[in-house]
Amino acid sequence: MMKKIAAGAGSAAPAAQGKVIKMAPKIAYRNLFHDRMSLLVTLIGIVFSVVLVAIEVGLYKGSENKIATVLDKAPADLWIVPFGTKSFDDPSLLIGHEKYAALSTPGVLKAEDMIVSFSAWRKPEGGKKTFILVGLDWANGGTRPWSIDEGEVDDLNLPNAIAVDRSYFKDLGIEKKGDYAEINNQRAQVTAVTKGIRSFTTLPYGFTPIATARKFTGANASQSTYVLVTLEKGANLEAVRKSLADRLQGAEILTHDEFTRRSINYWMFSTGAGLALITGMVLGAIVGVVIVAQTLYASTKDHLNEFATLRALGASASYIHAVILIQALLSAVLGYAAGMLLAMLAIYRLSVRVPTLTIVMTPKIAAYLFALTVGMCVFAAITAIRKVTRIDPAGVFNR
Amino acid sequence: MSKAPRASNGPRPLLEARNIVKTIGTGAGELHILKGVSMDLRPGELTLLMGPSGSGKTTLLSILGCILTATSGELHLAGHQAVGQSSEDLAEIRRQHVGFVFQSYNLFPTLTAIENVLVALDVRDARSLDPMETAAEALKSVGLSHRMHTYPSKLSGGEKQRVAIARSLAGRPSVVLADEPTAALDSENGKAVMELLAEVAKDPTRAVMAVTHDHRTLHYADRIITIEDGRIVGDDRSPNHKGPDNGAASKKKNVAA
Ligand SMILES: Nc1ncnc2c1ncn2[C@@H]1O[C@H](COP(=O)(O)OP(=O)(O)O)[C@@H](O)[C@H]1O
Ligand SMILES: [Mg+2]
Repeated sequence: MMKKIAAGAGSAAPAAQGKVIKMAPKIAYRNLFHDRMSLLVTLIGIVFSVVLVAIEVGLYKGSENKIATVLDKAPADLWIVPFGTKSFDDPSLLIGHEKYAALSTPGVLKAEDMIVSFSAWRKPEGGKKTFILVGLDWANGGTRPWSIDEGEVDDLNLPNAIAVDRSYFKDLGIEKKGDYAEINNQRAQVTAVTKGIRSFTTLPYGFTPIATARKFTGANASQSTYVLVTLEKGANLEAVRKSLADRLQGAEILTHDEFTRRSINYWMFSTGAGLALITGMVLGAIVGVVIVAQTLYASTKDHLNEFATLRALGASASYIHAVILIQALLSAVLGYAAGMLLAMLAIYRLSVRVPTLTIVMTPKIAAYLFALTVGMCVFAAITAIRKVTRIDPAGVFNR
Repeated sequence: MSKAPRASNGPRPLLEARNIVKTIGTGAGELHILKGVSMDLRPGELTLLMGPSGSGKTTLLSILGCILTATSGELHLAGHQAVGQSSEDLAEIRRQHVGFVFQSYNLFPTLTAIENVLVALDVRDARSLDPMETAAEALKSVGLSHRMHTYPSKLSGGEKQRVAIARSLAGRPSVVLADEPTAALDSENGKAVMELLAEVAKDPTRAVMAVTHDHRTLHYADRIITIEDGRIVGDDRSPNHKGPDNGAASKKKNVAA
């Protein structure tokens, strides 16, 4: 049994070049799977967090998309909006000369009128519903109606014609394309039906040519809510913005992004709708951190003797931290995978059951969530790491 | 203490401790555990450290192994001055030069025998052409080739301690320190472990010191240091020890006896 002891044990060790079998991940992995119950609790914590945060973020993102529904389809370099406009859905009217003022400003290629107006919809069977009337000027090269599911864009050129979204049929008291209603006490006909155009508020959108919208709202022939300005190639945006602002008192000149942000901030923060979502998100993350920190700390305490042994064997502090961090990362990966799967399932089920709910999940959001989960677990590892940093390797000896 | 001629003429010591003092606590609660211990460990020798319970054996071993720092004194280990070093520097010294064997084995329960040995190689960043082979060889040298992939819970106490010895040797330390390695073993396994340590000590590049209570282990020793109340009170070369070469022969005779 003792043959070769003297020379045997490490005879191959001093080779300068060679490979090292990394044991830190193995120790971490075995520690993790050794305490099945604790692993289960950790994973439940992470899954809970991931699902909660995924849905909250998805709802938040969905809300942003809804708030910017029309804005996203109406690209422009600059928007001329009535002074004090809080969001896209907060319409009033400009004076009426803005489009021509814009067109005569150096650097402006194109200017487009748009009407956005709260209007009263009287259902055929009686009852009223306020909606947001959007008048677009595609006849003059402006924004064209989109997502038409039934009928044609040209069908909107009929007198008093309007397009509404199928998902609002019930709210508007109609059943099909061709149905009649009254808008601001004028007879109107649904000649086209859109699909999937939802607003952030409970008010439906209705789309008409701008002339029809002026007629329904009583605006004069040159008036609009917004003027969308497209710049010539190479024009200086700030210079154009400045000369527009100088010429147009009572109006604000916003970039497309500024108007989008302003609209989103208004609905998400001034009204508090977004705050609830963000609170949910933060709470979800906190719950995750607390649970993971707890279980990781408990697991580290259970294996303290092994960490002390590692230290006695000469492991550097960073080696031991690596073991704990790998445990945290493994938990993160497993928890994220399970959590994301469950979140996708939940989002799918929710969107089937409540079609008006928009929960957005994109690869980018998923990637952010993964980073968040990893960050959460690493953060949770701090208490465990502090614990092992304080261990005394002398504890390995029986006294 | 005893100035045996061999001790002064022998090879350079691998470990030299001068006037090691360990004091714990302050004021009225001050506890003097080690009160000025000087000793050295020479390559190719198995030194036993004996003494009553509470006399400071474990504390001394911890200090010699750079696990604990002395309150004062000097400690040279394979050319490094250890007293006053940072905990990371001490870890580095342990990593390069010290192997430990513990009374309660301290194997990783979640790792197999060979994985336990691999951990010691990994921690040391000991590059070898084939770590698996190095670890397998270490296990073979302690007679456990057939238990390489067994978890500690399935090993006997003696087997566990042999895995621990294989682990302590895997990084080729110059000093191996064992704290009561046989205390938890029955006499047969205890004997096997002591034989193993004596064999380990035959390497002319390595010094082995084992703390023991067990008088049955005495005849494996090349040298016996006795400590009482934090002071060395005896340092004797084994009467059987006649030099590194024929010492083994005399030990073998004792094993047979
Ligand atoms: N960290 C410590 N705190 C308090 N007392 C200690 C500590 N370490 C050792 N001692 C005391 O020092 C004395 C020597 O301990 P130790 O070295 O473990 O002795 P031995 O191993 O010889 O039994 C004992 O009385 C023990 O209680
Ligand atoms: Mg002791």
